[in-house]
Amino acid sequence: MQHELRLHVGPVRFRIGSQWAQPLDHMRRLYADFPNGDDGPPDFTVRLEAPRLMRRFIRPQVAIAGDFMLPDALPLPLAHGLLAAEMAMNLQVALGWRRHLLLHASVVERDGRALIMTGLSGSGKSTLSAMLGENGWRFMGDEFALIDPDSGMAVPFPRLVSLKNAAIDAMQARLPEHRFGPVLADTPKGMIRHLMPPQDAVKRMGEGALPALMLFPRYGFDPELRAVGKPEAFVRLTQASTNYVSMGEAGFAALSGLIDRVPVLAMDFNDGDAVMAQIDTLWRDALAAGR
Amino acid sequence: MSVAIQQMVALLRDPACAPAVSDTDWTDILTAARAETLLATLGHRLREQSLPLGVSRVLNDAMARAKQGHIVARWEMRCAARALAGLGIPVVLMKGSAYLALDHSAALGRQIGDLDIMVPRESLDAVEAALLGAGWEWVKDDPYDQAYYRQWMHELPPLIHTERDRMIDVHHTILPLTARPRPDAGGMLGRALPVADGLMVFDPLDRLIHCAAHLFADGDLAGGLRNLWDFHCLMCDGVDEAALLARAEAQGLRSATARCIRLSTHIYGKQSARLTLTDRLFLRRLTARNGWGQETRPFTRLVFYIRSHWLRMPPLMLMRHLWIKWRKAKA
Amino acid sequence: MMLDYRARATTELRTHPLDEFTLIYDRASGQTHLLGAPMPELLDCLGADWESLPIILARLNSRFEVGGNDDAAQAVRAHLAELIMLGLAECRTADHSDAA
Repeated sequence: MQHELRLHVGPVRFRIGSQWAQPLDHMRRLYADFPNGDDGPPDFTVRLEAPRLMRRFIRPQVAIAGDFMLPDALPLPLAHGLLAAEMAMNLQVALGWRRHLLLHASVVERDGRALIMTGLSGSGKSTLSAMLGENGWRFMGDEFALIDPDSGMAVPFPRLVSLKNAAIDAMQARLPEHRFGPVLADTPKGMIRHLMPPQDAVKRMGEGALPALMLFPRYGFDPELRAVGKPEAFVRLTQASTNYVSMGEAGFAALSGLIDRVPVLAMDFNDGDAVMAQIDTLWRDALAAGR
Repeated sequence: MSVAIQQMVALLRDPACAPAVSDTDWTDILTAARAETLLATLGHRLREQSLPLGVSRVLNDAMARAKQGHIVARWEMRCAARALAGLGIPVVLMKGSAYLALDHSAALGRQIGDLDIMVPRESLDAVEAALLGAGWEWVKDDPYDQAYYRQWMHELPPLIHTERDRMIDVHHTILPLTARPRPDAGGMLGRALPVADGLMVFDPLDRLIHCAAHLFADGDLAGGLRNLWDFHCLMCDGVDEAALLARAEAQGLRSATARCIRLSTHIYGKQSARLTLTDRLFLRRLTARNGWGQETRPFTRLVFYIRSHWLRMPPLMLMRHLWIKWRKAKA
Repeated sequence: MMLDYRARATTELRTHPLDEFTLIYDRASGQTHLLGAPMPELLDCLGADWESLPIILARLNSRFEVGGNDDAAQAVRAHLAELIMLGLAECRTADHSDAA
């Protein structure tokens, strides 16, 4: 591998190799505030490589490879190299991490407690976490919530926030250009731009927080709020976890403990500003009830 | 061999080398070991050594993953045993499941995938019916694939259990019917030894011969270092080499078994072995992995890929098989 | 065919109540089950030794009043079959040969 980058995000150490300089150049700039993870062997190795020799130079394509791979993954054009790198890192964690229970969720912290927002792609969890992270909350991650199986704490994993389509404009209106990665047009998910996490998120990425509230957000629906019963929440979270099964009994203990202690609300919304205010209220209520 | 692979086999051979390994080297060794599905096994071999924290973490994760995999594999064996108990036939565990049932050292850190069992050929219909009745279903529904498996392969088409999402491969002999050596499946079944839950395993010599057959007479050698490690662990039971080779001769597998003995000794053993020119070609294929986890030596790999199909099928059949597959892909 | 039933070893199953349901983690299989009434109650009524259906029914009745009629017996037998399929209980034919 001609080019190499080491990256340390939260508890995870990555080694990223690439046959082209471009994706790693982007990463170096966007992850400039992070420690370089050169202390010991990495937890995961990622490889960005051409699927066939020709594809290194002619209409270059990036195949995602590494310690953990999906057999039928389609390569991406080199112009989307940064996206390939981010997807590759997500894949390693999703398939290979077992030190924490993983939930497909975004996490933010305030008052020393964590708010976890879980949902499918398009639910708004990424954008919400980015917005909250710029409005008094500490950003802890937009893709995975990492729950410590012993303490129940949510542990930060603050990577670049992946913004799609309309969310890009909303954030670009509020934040300086240097915080953003390249414009990636025509990806399978539409237009994507990556956003650097705030500096304090990176500085404090060693500080976990006990969850106090969990939301299932859904963007693009008439506003509605509903309490989610524990059995339903448990089942939905097993589906939102990539490693619940492989963690065995520790996964069961972590998830049942989380569901026992943390109230869950399903929240439909269609107005970004209104929902921020609503989250503030829900948070105050959750903390008050918890005391 | 790449430096990473060289160092990995050295550590498997002699764990006491661990203190001499540098941080940079550890990175490549762990990556190569993972790519060869030997990472958790390496972890077990290095259990007594004092290792850098980052190295221990990676090895501990791999060992924990393997351990959870063993729980699932044991349950799968139990379920298959229950489904087939009423048939009154020998059900013989093969490969990883067998090592696990025996609590053999070959099972330490081993990843166990599908459940592989061997049953008498005349019982195949009954076994198929019992498994389908107990919740398993076909993976390949296509009538061509089904016919191909039944007529030419050494196993039923693969079955998967709907709820547990685990596959079972039911064999009636150890090599495809189209392959050249014709082992004596009946003899192997007759010599099988009981383990828990009413299941059985091959006797120690047949176990080794199956390992050799699987590695050299059947496949394109991907994952060969892992299979050779299995062979090495089985040999460490104090096997009579002459008796092993005599039994292998009777099965038409003497050359594959002898090659396994030479290569496993050369790679993992304490003494050196005299390798033939062909052995060295096999060795080149087996060790085609670098410290980034990539497969190297594309020409050597291509030679063995073609060879593996050649061994499984006579040339005319291979042409027909590939032709049909190509047509289906185009449709 | 007369069947005897018994519970799995208590060390193998880990239970966790969740509102009106019960979570069960099966250490031997790595599987998680979410059971609603009457399954957890029925599991509770199984003993460590092999017992026939009438005995289990009687125990169920003394705790929960399910009724002693044929319908009740049939329903319980069906639920037991489900528990066995999930691997949470065991059965054998009453003449002591191994059943599924």
